[in-house]
Amino acid sequence: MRNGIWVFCENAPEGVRGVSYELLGEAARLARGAGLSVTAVTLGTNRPAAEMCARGADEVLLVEDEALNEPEEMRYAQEICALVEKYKPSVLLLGGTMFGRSLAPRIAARLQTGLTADCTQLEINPETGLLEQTRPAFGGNLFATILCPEARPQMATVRPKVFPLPAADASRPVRVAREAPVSQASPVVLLGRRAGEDGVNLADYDVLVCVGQGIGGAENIARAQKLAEKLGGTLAATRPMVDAGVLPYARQVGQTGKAVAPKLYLALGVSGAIQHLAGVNADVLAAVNTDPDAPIFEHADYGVLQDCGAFLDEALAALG
Amino acid sequence: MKITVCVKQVPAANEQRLDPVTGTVIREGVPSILNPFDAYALEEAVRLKERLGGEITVLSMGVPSAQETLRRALAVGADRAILLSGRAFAGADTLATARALAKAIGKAGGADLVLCGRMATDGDTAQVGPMLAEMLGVPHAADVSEIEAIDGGRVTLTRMTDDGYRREQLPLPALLTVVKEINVPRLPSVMGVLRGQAAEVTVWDAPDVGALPEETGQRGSRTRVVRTARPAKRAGCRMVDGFAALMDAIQGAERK
Amino acid sequence: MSIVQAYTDAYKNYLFDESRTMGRADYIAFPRNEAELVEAVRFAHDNGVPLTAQGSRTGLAGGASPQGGMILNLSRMNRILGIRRDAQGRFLLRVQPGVALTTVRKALRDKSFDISSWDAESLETLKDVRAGALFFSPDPTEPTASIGGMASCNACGARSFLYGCTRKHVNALRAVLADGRVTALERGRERAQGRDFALPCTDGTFLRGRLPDFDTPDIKDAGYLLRADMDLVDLFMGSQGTLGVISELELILLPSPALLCGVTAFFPDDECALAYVYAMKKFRPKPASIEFFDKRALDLVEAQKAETPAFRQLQPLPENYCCAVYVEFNLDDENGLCPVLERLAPVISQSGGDPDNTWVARDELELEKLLLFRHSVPETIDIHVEKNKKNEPEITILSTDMAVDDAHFDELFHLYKRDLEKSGLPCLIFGHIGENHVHPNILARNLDEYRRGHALFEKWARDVRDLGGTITAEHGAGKIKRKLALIMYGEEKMRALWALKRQLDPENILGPGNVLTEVEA
Repeated sequence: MRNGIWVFCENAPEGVRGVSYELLGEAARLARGAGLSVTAVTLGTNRPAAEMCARGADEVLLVEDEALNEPEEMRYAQEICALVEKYKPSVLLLGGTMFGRSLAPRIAARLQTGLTADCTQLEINPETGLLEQTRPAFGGNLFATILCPEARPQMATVRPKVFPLPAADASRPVRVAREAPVSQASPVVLLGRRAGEDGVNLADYDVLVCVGQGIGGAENIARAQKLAEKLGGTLAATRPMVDAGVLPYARQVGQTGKAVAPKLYLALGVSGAIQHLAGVNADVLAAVNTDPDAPIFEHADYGVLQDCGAFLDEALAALG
Repeated sequence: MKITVCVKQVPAANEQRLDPVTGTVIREGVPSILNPFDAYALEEAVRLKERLGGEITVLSMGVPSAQETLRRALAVGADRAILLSGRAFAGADTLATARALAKAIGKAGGADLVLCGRMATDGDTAQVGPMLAEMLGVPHAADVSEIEAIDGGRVTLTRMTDDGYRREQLPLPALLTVVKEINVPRLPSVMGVLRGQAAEVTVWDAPDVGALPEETGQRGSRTRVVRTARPAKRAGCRMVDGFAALMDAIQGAERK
Repeated sequence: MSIVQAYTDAYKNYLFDESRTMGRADYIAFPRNEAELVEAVRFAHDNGVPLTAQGSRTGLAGGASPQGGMILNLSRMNRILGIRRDAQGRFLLRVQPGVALTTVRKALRDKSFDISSWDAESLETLKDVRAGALFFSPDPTEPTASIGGMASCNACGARSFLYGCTRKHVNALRAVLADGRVTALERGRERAQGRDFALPCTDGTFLRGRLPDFDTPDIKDAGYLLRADMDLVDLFMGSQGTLGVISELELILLPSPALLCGVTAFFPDDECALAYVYAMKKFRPKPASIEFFDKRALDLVEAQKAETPAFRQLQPLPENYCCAVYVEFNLDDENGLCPVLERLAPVISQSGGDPDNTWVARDELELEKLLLFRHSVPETIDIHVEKNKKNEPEITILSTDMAVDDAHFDELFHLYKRDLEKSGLPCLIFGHIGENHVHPNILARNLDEYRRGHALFEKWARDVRDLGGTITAEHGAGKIKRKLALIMYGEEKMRALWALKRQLDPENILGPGNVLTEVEA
């Protein structure tokens, strides 16, 4: 039974990207309802197959080859496409990491199948058996549900933190099937690696103070950072703020930035476009805005109708 | 060196309306701009041309009015503009779009280097670039933040990855998608605008690039938008007065 | 409870404006409507408490910084009250003084108004308004400025070359007088008879008085406007809260231009740039703004890119430049750009520039890039002032906004250059050159440079006075340019201004410390 739901388990310095496990959990949920199997597909050596099974895979399809340890789109596309053509899965899911978003379109083009980027919801329609792929679209006012009715596999990418990390269940059986590598050496030569400048990982914080265009000046951004630190968190930003060069990309939250799941998300001067909120899955969402009609209030648990400067005055005074 | 830059005309506004029947974007009445990410690709092409010489072709698929966007590219230094336009191209998903672009590049005589923005602001998918690379049978690098050198038929570059940056070398021909960190796009000069206005934009329909009806537009697409919905609202936002009240409310809710 | 509260340290942000002039206060009030504003003014009047009105506190001359007494903060009077059309078909927007310029702009752009309190006429008129079809033209650099604050210093900004200052775009206003009476004035309706005036009050009474016997300069000027037979609306424009507190304004809206575009041209030296500026003043279509940046201003921003990430979005400067001139066009024809550029190219060449060495912005998105460039200059100055202030707390921004008429600008510009050259002070020049009004700035690094800068400004104030100009074209004298105002007016005229002030405000409770300086009788 290798024609069910496939999840590509992406190599990461820590072994496997968290989003791959999140997708295994989601795939297991979908598979239960539809009577399908879940297959983890992974390339390279020392792959943690047991962990993949514990997170929801019924079987791990492994192409074990040292040459595949370094993720590279052309080789990876060849290997995965060869497996797809052999076993004909119904669904292929990839994490919406930078690599995943670069790899998935190559695979889709090679297989001439449909691909939906950055899905926030996946369901299998019980009548048609088709994967309903939902994503924010059209300027963020709406969610669009997309089908790939004829071609197979039905492909989608999903951003990190959109689905919860499933608990590891060590009692699940570990099944590994090895496949021989088929790809030719890539023409791409890796010359070196280095870490990013702003090494902040928003996902590491329980509290995020996010600034949007309504924050009102550089001074308030610095003060929002101070507030974030006093609350034990860090500063996040909306896409317009990053596009304007005010804050680095590493701090961008949303569909095209980082997806986050903090305990508290305090949105200062954030209007609340869907693309932004698609990346926020907070326990408590609080918003400060002068505009009572700002969409953010439709999604927030708590709202403060106030100028961000005045709010920061009060907050920083209160916290000393 | 022959450089092709793929560009897209996108709505300037963030708020877009949908055709309730086709589920596609209504473009009438919304001012259009060059996809901001494509401006970085175009700028990089112009800088490469200034450094190494060569010819820049800008290529787009869209409505006839997208010619204006192409003129803007001509104004900052592109040499030739091609627009794929016609009913046959309408309603294309990323796969059908990439296929049409691949055919156009072939018809135009190929390219040593294809540059794209990392994504378009109206779709946010970032799929067309890598799909196009696969269809052209060339390697690609996504999210390129620096092109260091092009010589000996190879391009040396730095790209952004999930863990930082990677330096890579790709043989030409190759396709790169670029991020905004790569450069600061220039505005055109007075003479550039006038040159762009006077220049010719080549318009090709599907038969011109040898595309069959089932290869382009909606028929050539593999995905269908079947419905759209407004996002669900939260249970209700409780309005509170100021920071202290907010903290009290959050902590109060936690205790319960 | 009274609208007036005792001042506490919680309100210390209300003691200063962008000029960083620190004040002090005993009371503070946040009226939400005219009745509450009157209540606050009456309290001040009855208790002999001076009051300082303030809006968004974005002023550059300390006008909003209180000097004891009451802070009258109008930021909660921030509603748009209604819209009507007059006999000429003009759209007029009624607003409270605390509404921010950006709020007005956004409301007009999106046609999104809070109409809950609007009358039937306003609702009917609104039906004829299309989103984005109308705009309020005054354009000070700071979009969060309050409309009341803009009126009180007759703010101008870049586009006033075409459209004129705030004064020209206020059709009517209501103002609370020192004793709590309210006067309601409409342009063309209440005028001075020669130098005699009578302000009609809403209680049926009049406040009568006589204007000083001199005229203020006939150029863009942020101070008092004094003329025989003058429109009395203008008495409250530019008087910086010294004669009354504006409680409501009716703004004149203009049809939005079909196309906004801009051209930055680089020149090999200042003389070429000046030649271009003079040609552009006569160019048709008339530019909306003409702005100048000298080499030091360009270099300063370029150097700041290393430290300020936002500036890295600015296009790199061309290699061969000395200075730059930015010209903006607001065109009625969407396709009007190319014909303009065709005629502009030879003007640039003839002035010694190169039409290939230019930056053209063809829509609002691209214009934002040129405006970011424009705004990066004052922002860089701010950064330097803050840095220098750390070494020497007394240092403030040293910027002037003096202006003269067309005939004298060349002389003033070269005088600035000569004096700055001779002084050896770190400096730069940029600004609204179309209106004969550039901002020489001195970036004093220590107290000695700071004092020499001040001395230079005082010299310029005398020079500008002798050239028939003004010491403040757009920021207002506020508190920090009072000394320059005295130089410009001289003691005799200053006494005459005091005489005017006493007729409206006998107890001297309105805007103490703004514009006027005590002189011996």
